[in-house]
Amino acid sequence: MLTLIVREIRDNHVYFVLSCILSAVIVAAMIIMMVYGVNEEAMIAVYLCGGLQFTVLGVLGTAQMFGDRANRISTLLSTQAVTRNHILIARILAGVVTLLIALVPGLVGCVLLLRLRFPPLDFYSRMIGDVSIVLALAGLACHGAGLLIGWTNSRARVIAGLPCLLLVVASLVVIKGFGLSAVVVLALAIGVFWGRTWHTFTSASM
Amino acid sequence: MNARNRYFINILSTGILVTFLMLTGLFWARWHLHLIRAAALQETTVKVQIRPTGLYPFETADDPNLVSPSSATAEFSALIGLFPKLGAPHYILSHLSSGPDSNVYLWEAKEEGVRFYFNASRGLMVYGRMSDVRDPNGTTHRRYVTQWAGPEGIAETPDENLGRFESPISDGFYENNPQTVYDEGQRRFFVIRWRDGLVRKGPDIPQGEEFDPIQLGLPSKDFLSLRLTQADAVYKQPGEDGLVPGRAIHALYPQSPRMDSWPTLVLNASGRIDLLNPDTLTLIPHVGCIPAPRTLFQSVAERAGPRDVTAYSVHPLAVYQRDADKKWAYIGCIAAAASRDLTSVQLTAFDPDGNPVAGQAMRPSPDDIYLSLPGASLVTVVQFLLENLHPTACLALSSLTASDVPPESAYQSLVLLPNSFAAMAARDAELSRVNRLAYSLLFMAPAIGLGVFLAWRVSRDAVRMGLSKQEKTLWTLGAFALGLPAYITYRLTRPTVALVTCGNCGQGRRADFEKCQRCGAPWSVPELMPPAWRVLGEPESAEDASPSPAQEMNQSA
Repeated sequence: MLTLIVREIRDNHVYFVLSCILSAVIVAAMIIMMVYGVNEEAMIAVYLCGGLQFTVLGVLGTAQMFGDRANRISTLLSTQAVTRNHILIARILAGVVTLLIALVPGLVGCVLLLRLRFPPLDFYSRMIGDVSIVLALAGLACHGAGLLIGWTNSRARVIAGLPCLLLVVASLVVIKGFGLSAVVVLALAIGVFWGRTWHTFTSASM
Repeated sequence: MNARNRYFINILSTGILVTFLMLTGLFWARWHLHLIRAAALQETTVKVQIRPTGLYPFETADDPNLVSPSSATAEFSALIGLFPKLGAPHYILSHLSSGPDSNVYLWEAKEEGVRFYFNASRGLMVYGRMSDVRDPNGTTHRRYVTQWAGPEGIAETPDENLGRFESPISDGFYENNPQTVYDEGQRRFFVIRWRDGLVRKGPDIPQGEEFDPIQLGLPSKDFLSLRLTQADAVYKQPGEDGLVPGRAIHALYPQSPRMDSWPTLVLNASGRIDLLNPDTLTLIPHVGCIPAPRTLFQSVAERAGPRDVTAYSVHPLAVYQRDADKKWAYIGCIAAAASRDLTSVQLTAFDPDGNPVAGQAMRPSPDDIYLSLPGASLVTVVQFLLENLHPTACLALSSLTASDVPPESAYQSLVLLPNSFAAMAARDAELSRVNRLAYSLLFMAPAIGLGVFLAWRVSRDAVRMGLSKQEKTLWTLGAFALGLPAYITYRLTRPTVALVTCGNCGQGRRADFEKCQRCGAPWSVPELMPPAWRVLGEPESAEDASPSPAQEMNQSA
C-alpha cells in the first residue's frame, strides 16, 4: 500500500508542491499578523491561499483519476498483486496526505495567533476545533469530488463538472457553518463521493 | 461484494449526490429571491416610528413648550440581515466577543485593554482593566487589575470560596453599571458591583415554566438587521431660545442610558418581559412582551416568542423623579420584532403594567411586499414554483415542524423550508388544525401533482424494464415522496439493457430474462430438426450419383 501511495504522490508531485507553497504563504501571512497585528492584506492572502488549497485538492483528485483513465495505469497495476480497491484507497490516502500538508501548518499558525490575540479560553479552543474539523472534511470532500469527476475520458466533463462540485462543497460550508450539522452533511457528501467513485471505478472494464 | 449490494450502494450514492446538487441549487435560488425581495424593500421606507411614545407622564400634546415629542424608531434592514444568517457568517458572528453564543463580553486586544468574560472552567466572571490602586503608604499608582467574581464574592485571585456560576446569563458590559447575572443552576439573580468589590444575591426564583429567563438587560437578537433607538422630547427652555432635550419646567426627565440604575429587563423563553427589581432582586412579571409582527397569513397575534421572530430588540425607559422620591422610576419599554421572512416589523410601547400604549407596523405590509411592490408578484410566483420543485416529503416535513424550527434555519437548511408558503400557512394560529392542514396541502398541491406524475412515469418505466414488484413499489413511492431527485436517480441507475420485441405480446422485453416481463411468455425457441430437403448444385449432382443418406435410409426401410 505504501508503495502505491508513494507512486501516487510521485505521479502527482506538482500538486503536492503547490500545496506546500500555498501552506508556506499562509504561514508567512500569519507570522506577519502575529508580528504586526491583523491586517487586511494578510487576511486576503490567507483567504485566497486557503481557497486555492481546496481547489488544488479537487484538481489532485481529478488528475489522479483522469490520468489513470487516459494512460490505463490501473489496468497496468492490476497485472501486479493489487486490486482496484487497493489503488482507490491509495489515491484517497494520497489525498489525505495533501490535506494534512494543506491544513496542519495553517492550523498551528491559527492556534498561535489566537493565543496571542484572543482570550485563552476553552471557548476559543472549541471554536478552532469546530472550524478545523469542518475544513478538513471540506478538503476531503473536494478531493472526493475530484476523484468522482476525474474518471472520464471527456475533458469537457472535467472542466464543467469539477468547478460545479467544488462550488457545491463550498456552498455546504457556507450554508451549514461550522457546527455539528455541517460535519454530518460533509461526512455524508464524502461518503457519497467515495461510494460513487468506488462503484464506477471498480465496475469499469480493463 | 455481491451484485445486489453494489447495486444498492450505487443507488444510494447517486441518490444522495443528486439530492445534494438539487437542494443546493434550489437553496441559492430561494436565497437570491429573498435578496431580490429585500433589495426591493430597501428602496421604500423601512423605518417604523412611534411618536410620541405615550410613556412619559409629563408629555402632553397641548404643551406649548413642546417642540418635538419623544419617539421610538425601529430601523430595519432586510438586505443586511440576510448575509449574517447563512451558517458560516452566523457561526463566526455569534462566537465573536459579545456575540450571543460567546462567553466573552468585551475583549480589547491591546495589552492594557478591558477584558470582561466568563471563565467556564472556573465558573467565575472575570473583569480586567487598568485601575488606580492605593498603596499602604498612601500613594496611588495605575496597574492592571483582574477581579474574579463568583456567587459568594469578589477577589483578585480565583478562589474556591467564591463559589461557581453554573450556567450564567449576563446583561453584558456597561462600564458604569453593576453587572446583573442570572444563574440557571441556582435559579437566582446576582448583582456584581466590581468597583465596590461586592456581590449581592437575590432570592430563589420559583420553579416552573413561567420564569425561564434567556436574556437580561437590553434583550436583542440580530442587531444588524433591526436597530431600536429612542429620542427624548425636546422643550423650549424657559427664558431661553435654545432647546434642551427633556428638561425645562418639568419635574421629571428621561434618563441617560449610562446612569447607575438603568432598569434591567428579563426576557423569558415564552416572549414575556419581566422587570428586575434592583432593590430586592425579584422579578416584576409581565411589563411587556415581544410583539408579534404581522405575516402574510397571520394578521393578529398577542405576542411572539424569541424563536418565532428573526430579530427583536427591547429597550426600557426610566425617568428621574426630582421632586418626589428623588430616584429613578421605570416608565415602560419599547419593543420591536421582525418576522421570520423579514417582510414585517412591529414596534410597540408598553406601560409599566405591560399594557401596550402605542404600536406601529411596518409599511409596506407583507401583502404589499409579496404582491403589490414592483416585480413582487413575479418573485412570489417564482418562489412558489421553486418551492414546489422540492420533494413532497420536504414540504410536508416543513409544514409539520413549521412552528418548532427556529427562524434562522430558513437560511441554513437545505431540507426544511420554514419560510415556504406551505409552512407559513401551517403556522397560522388563527385557523383550526384541520384548516391549517388544508391550506398547507393547497400550497403543496403542485409538488404533490409533480410527485404523482413522476411516480406514474417511474411505475410505467419499471414495468417496461421488468423490475420486480417490490422494486417497482419502492421506486414509485420514492418518486412520489422524494420527487425529482428520486426520479433522476431512477433514470441514472435503472438497468441499462436493450429491449427486444416479444413474440407473444409484441411489447419490448428484456433479453436477459427467461420470461417476458409483461406477458410472462417464454422465449419461443424453434425446434432444431435437420431439414429433409437439400439444395443441390448442378456440378454436385453430376459428380456424385450415389443416393443421399436420407434416400439410403428410405430405401433400407
